Amino acid sequence: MRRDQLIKKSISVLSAAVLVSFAATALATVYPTDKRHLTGPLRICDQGSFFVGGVPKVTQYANSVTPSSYQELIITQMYVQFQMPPNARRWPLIMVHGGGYSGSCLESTPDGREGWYSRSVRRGLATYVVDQAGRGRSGFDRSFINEAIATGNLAGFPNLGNTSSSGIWTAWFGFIVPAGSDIITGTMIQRGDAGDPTCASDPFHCAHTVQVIPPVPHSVDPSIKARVGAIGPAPNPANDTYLALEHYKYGLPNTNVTLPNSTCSTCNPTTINGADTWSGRDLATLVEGLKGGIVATHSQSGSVGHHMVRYLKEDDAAGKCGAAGACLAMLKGLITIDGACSFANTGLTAADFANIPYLVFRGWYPSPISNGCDATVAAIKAAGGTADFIKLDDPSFGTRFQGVTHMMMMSTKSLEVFDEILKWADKNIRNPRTGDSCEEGSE
Amino acid sequence: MRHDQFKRKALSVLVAVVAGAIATSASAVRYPTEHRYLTKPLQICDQGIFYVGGAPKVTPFGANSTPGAYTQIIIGSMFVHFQVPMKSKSWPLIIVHGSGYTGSCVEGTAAGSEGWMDYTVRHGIPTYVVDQSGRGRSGFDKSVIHEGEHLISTDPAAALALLPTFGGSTSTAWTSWFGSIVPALTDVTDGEMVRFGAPALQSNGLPAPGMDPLCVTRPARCTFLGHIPMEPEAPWAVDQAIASRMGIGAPAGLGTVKPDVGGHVNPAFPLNDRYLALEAYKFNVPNTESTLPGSTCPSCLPTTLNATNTWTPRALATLVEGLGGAIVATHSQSGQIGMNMVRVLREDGKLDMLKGLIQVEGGSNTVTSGTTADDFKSIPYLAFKGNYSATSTVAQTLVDAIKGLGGTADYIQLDQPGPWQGAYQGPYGFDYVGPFKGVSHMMMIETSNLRVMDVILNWVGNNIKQPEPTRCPVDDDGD
Repeated sequence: MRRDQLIKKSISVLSAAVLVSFAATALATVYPTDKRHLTGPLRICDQGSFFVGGVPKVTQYANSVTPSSYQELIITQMYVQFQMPPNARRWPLIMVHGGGYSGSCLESTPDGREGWYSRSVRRGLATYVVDQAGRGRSGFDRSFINEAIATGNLAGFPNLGNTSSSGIWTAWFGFIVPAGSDIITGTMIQRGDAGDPTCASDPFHCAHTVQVIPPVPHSVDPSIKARVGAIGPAPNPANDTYLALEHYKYGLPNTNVTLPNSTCSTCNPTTINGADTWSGRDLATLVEGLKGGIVATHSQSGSVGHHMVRYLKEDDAAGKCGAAGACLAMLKGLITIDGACSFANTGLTAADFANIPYLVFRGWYPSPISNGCDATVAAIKAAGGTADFIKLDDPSFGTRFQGVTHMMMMSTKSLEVFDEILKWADKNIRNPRTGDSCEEGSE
Repeated sequence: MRHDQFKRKALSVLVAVVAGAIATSASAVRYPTEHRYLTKPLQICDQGIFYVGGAPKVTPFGANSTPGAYTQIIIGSMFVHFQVPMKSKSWPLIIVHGSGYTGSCVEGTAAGSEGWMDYTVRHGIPTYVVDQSGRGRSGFDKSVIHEGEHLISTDPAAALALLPTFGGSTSTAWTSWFGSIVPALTDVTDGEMVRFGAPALQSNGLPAPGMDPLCVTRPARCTFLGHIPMEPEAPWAVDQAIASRMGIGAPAGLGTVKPDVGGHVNPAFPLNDRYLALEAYKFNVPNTESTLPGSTCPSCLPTTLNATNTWTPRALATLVEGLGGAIVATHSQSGQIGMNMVRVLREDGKLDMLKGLIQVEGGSNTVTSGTTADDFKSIPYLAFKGNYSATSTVAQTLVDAIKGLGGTADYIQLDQPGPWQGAYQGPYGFDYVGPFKGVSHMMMIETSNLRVMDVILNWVGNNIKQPEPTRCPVDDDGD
């Protein structure tokens, strides 16, 4: 499709969009004037945002696809937002989103309920939520794209991720049947619906998700469901509801692919992608800057978290934190939520976690991303460390978490799931209240 | 450049980056563990995020540049972050950032201090901060790039027509708001970066690196410096790892990069390095809304609207309506977004829901937004300008026209007479040296940000009729 066609197409639809969409939007978005997101008020001792890391790049393609005067961009920095309750615990919690998302997925659920961020603050943790380097509010290296366009050579240009609405659907919530079809030719079904192709081989996990999917109120944008303002061919009308989830609006392109890669001689393979390189580096900087913290990653950031550990080790080797091992000792716990935990890929060994409590946490549905983590957990235990693998489909939970998917922080069970993670942290990470009453400067 | 070349080149420099950046990075950020951002604690009744608007796009380029199965993406939706105080004394205030930024510019400053959002919440105002549609956490239409990549080998012209240019702030923020590069027609690699006001009053007593050319024509400007934090008066304002040029050893692998000479971007003026390492620049993101489609507007001149003035105005109008009434404050590039929002609200028949429009450093153009002064008869309107900006004719014209119709409108310029000057008696204009001297376009991330917001809030208090206060229901503690 040509751009001029796109504009032409969009013109014809947008006037319709503008006229119609306002009538129905109240049903989609949960406005705080209608329903409170928080479960109760919160006292905030401090809050704000800042950036860690970043490197300078001097380029003629900062703002143009034709070479112009040299300008400098700062790339690879990481956006950090934080809130601190009074009488916070000693060690803060740093939370990292996964592929195709930003920190917004931790702030409120799509049906307008308290997110993990606020919950963590309510539980007494100073909490830091990041946008991975190269994504969301962290920006990315646009000059890389501008220059590729300028030279007319986009061959091999990295793609920006597949977290489309329908991609999220098939990754975590359901299927498009029959096999080989798409949203135009096939039908979207939820996990556990008749026709779920996994039910035959895995009847135990054949159940409905407890994600924010209809009939949960506010879960669907009616104007998108009605295809108002639609661009491109129409899908099978039977799919309209499942293509209109508010959840999808949290998705954003993986622009971290514009950041440069690096090498790691202790890693296998030795080439490290831009996300692991820069978010890993920035997280290590953040842990050191805060002089200690617990880090929780999700999905794609699982490997980012492990590379962060490697950077802490490398910082120790360079004597950055003073005493031997002082950088690594600032990591007070690593929580990997449905993400990869390979030591080989990240240049780590079980001994690195001898004094760092380590948790792998998985939803009710087995996920190929974290399924291989049993070996890692076993290795740490064998080395005398503290490590656990909590699976929400464990029989000890009964049916409590039945149907919780990969995107558990946005599910209807989000807070109960988070409480399980915090329960583990309370048991395994010494983290007393500081007693700081935050009275300096009264309200 | 091929991607695999990119990779290989990058490898050689990044080893240096990672090893080198470590040593000094702690000095750049003001960590909250060492320094409180807020002026005082805050109690919050409610907070969170949501998205408004958006339209579905079905495309075979949703996942990558090889046309595959059709997938749907939602484009044009707008990220909204909100906090509601325990006692709300005002209509909700919606704050919209300008070009090259996201909402992060009002959530803490480059100085690591309280931001506009915290401050308005503290003053009893439920506050909603957005990322413009197509920018930051709102995402953008990546399929346009994938599709361009697909077409580039077979139909380069079509590909180039499809692919947008990504602009936004860079070190151009320097010349736009904080200083100059001299002589004229030079850039950061062959010119000298000088601060506005230099060589006047650096607090360490040393002469500034160069002279602000404005000092010649406007000597009063040479008696003070700007309010964006900079070394040496604020050591944490500069990222030392970036000032020492770590991470760009030649040959750089980040595309075509001009290599440093002797570790400096311009060895003749090594202080350029420092001025290129301001924490303030890290707030910048690409203007990716250029990937979204435009639209038409019969009442606008010209009738074609770009993506910027198509999607965020629509989403803002939806937000105002969804909240049941709100005050909107725009900045810079979002000024015309605010004007187009007024038009959309009028088209929706919901103009009465806009309780006030505050335009900080931009907006006011009725012709291009299909609005008239008549639309503002019942909407208090403020055009607000900082220092270093000339009087805007369109702003003055609109304010006068609204007043002529009996409406409420003001044009506040911080370097002009008004109650905000306190005991200061002048001079005004180019020679202004009163309490707001040195305030720039990016006033919300500067050290004087809260005093500037005080002027805005004072105007709000005097001109916008507010609803009865509401208290937070405190039936439980949230557990």
